[in-house]
Amino acid sequence: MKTNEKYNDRGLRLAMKRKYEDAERMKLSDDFDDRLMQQIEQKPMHRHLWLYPVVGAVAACILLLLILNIGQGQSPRQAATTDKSMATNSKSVTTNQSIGDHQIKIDDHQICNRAATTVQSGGNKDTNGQQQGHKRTATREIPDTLGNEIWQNPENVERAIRILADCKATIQREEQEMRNMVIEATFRATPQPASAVLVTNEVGDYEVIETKRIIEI
Amino acid sequence: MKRMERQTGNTSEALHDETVLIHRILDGQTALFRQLAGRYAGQVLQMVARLIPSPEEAEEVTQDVLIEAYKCLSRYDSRQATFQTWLMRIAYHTALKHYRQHHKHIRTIDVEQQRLDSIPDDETDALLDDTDRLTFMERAIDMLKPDDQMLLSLYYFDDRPIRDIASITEHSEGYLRSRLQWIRKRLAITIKSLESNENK
Repeated sequence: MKTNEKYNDRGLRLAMKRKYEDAERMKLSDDFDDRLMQQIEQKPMHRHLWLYPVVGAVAACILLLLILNIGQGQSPRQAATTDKSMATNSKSVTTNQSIGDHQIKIDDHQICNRAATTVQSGGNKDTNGQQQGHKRTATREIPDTLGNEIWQNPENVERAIRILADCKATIQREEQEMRNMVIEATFRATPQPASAVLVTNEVGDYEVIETKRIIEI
Repeated sequence: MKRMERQTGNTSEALHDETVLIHRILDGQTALFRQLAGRYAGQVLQMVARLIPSPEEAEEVTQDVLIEAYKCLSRYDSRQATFQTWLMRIAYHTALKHYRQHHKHIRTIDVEQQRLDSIPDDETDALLDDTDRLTFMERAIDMLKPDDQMLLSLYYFDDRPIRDIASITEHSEGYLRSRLQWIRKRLAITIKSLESNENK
């Protein structure tokens, strides 16, 4: 029987009531709150501090790999092709393919040279001109072209150096924080002589020393 | 009307108070979690105890639920659900997980779809409406899967609307409606089988 989109089922409702009588009467023990708070205070909110240096290191690695890959991508043959194409000052073909914010200009002559050495693959892109196969190859070669262009601009080089410096500083800072956390936790968790104190040295690292040494200093 | 307005006012005030409390806990005033947990710990225990009848075990699971809630507090969004519903969602999943881990020998009966179709809706309604078969009904409920038992308890015992149950169980309302219908038929068939076995 259904009323107001709800099943009536009086028998079933009564059976449920009987079945869960004990559960309804159950009460928490008096010290439950204290035990809970003790547990919570032992487990501070997870900030995953260890994640920061890991993420920083991974980001730096990816960036380095990218730079190395782009650097190596310009093989002597490709470099020669680029030089030659620059020298002949041939007509440029602009593809509509954009990577990030960069519109990439691909040299016609360069495309022809590369097409001869690269296996043609699928993936038709909407470039103009007649040489479909060459255009496909050009699409594959875009990262190299991007790399060449990117590092010709001194601003980009400066930006990359800045990013790497920032990454390095972040990693160093996070490593120091992590090191200090470990030192502090060990200091608090292990029995120490009464004269032992935790201090910060000149470079910001924690250090356990004895008070006698402080006086000497 | 005035009483209703006052009640609504009180409710929104209470909700605001709760939101402030949560923000303060997240800002580092950990000790305030005692106050927040104190409001709902009893309800959590009662929900958990439906699946886990041992008081010690139920209390342990309640503690796990509240610790989990504390750890995930920053993810709570008051626009999605009330804190109570959010907490009940954690309680529901934690209780089921605990039950599955510790009660691996669950005795359930598989009923073929054909048999389910063989019982007309009218007969199902009549069987489940009858108040003289409570013992058989209790036994039939025990033979259901734990998540089906929880669904029944939320619907019949707590009298929660389907929308609320959908939020707790993280199932769609449509699924819950058809599941409920399926469970009712299954209960009716089990009750009939238990009765016929008894008569033999």
